[in-house]
Amino acid sequence: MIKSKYNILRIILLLLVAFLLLISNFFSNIQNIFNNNFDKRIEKIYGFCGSESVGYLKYIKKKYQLNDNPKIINYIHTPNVNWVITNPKTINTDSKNIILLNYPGSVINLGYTTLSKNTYEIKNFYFYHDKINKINSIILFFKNEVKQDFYLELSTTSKLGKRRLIKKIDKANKFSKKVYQYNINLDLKNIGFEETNLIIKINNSDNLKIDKIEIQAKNKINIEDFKLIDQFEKCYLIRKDD
Amino acid sequence: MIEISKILLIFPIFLIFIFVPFPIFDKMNNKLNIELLNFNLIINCNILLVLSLINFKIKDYQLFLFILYVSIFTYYLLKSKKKILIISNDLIIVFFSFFIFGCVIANNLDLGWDAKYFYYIKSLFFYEGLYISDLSQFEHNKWHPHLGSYFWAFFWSIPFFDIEYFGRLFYLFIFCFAIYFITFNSGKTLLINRILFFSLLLITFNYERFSGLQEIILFSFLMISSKILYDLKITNKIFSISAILLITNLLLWVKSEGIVYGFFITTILIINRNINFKEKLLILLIFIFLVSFKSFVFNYYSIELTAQPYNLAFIEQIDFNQFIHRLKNLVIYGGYYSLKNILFLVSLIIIIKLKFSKNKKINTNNFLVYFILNVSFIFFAYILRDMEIIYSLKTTLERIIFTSSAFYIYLIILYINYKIKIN
Repeated sequence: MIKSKYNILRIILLLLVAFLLLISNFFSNIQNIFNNNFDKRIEKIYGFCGSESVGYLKYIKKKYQLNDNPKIINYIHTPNVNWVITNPKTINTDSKNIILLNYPGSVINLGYTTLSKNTYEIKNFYFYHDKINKINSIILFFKNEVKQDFYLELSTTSKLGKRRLIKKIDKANKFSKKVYQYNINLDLKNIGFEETNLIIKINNSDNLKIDKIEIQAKNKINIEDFKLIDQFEKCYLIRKDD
Repeated sequence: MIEISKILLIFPIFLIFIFVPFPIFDKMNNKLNIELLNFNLIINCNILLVLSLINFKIKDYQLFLFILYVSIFTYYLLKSKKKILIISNDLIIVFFSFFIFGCVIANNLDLGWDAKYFYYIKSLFFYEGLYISDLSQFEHNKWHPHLGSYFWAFFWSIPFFDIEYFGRLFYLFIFCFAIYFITFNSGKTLLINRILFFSLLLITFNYERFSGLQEIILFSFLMISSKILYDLKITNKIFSISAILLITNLLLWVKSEGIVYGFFITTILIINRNINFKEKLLILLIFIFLVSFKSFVFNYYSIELTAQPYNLAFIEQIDFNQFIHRLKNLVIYGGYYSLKNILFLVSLIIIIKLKFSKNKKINTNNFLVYFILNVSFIFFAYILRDMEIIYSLKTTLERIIFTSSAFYIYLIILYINYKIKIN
């Protein structure tokens, strides 16, 4: 049994209230709401052009009265940003406008994680389906000179963890004694939608130390093929020609 | 300054939703009747649900509803001759905590992943004067029902307020009220009730819960239902049964897994000793009716009912190795998130302690049944889910454990009150 005195309980209550004010950052919250209006606070959280780029989306929606739900392609993997400009009244209409966020240029370097020594993985591969048609090449940068033969193995894993071998490639373009390029030309049509991850394994390379790899793909969208309506840094509003 | 005043001013508007339609002043003493405040909230949420199902634009009836509710409340106030001070005395701590956390929401504004995909866009449909029938046009509509988004849109579209997060402040209001409801009169003194109220707020509040995600609504109503079910007696059973069934109805329309929580609380209601066989049968029939009615509405508005990631073809693919792989990860992540959730952990210890002690002052039956049902649900939901297991666990299990832990909070309150003695 916990015995407590009434006065102690009062002190506990006061401490709790003080703690509540402290951990909720009450005073800085008030100050921020007071000094910045809703739009400014939104921009502070999501950024203007970078990552989710909500500031840019709000800006172009207002400036160009975008009420037809343009397609948004964000080259950085973030949560969906369609919510910023969605107009439910025209939700399924085809818009001629396209918004590109964090556009990297005509060549995209695909992000990857290192699974183990000389094995790499591109996770959530579906992210690239609206950005590229195929993976063009993989460039290997070794730390030391390469004196042995090795080959590349590409496979996919499904959500159940089942692995499927797609390609083995042994012919590479030797740029220098340390840099090799493989033209893999892997069409995305060869990868099923349920195959979520792509694994790149460099076989027969136990003695080799790899500094980095670059996985390159040609961007589906070439800005020059469209009419440029607006641009801010790497964020674009483009329109398909009639 | 205007926005801060708006946060203060929206509170009385939310209060209206617990003040009517039933009179809230206790005739016996000079206090508010907490059970009726709670019942009003449940009734009003159900009224909003009904209004969301028929093709009425929010703007078409919103003003009328407010005028009607304010008139009814004014009538009650004049009739009972109570002073408005009684209300402020009783609900001041709810107002105080609402304002503090309201400022957190107004300051953060970041929406959760699912909110960006589904809930915000759905609320935009209602905000723009569209109807539930139009939701079938939205490709991500199928994942979850619409009620939380409808609440969001309803309060967002109040003319003077008209900023997105004022809709989400209603979630905060329900949450603060639910904690007030379960702590009110729970302790030996008002001081202990208030200590419990603030302690629970401190433990459970987290901005992400209010980032447009719907779990907090389930959480709040599960807390409320836990107290109603525990306090169910022969004298108040009709009132309690009605409240639980109305909460079940709300759970069904907030999130897909609401059906599971609705099933849990209905089961606990059915096995209650104070309820006779005829009533049990009637409760079961009403539950079946509520679930069928939801299916009927979904079909009527061409909304996909079975969009959740479960299918027979996938289940048939699960071999022994895959089962062990899933089970192993479920135990690891489940253990981790359970240890992280202080409410879940503490209540589990209390259940075990009370079951093996001679203490019969606290009845743990409801909590034990809920625990068994809840663990079974988590087990089957993840083993059979057509999704990569680790991704699935990482992205959803923490929220599932948080939501389901709501039911145990009342047990913790009962236990603390049992242990505390005041000199």
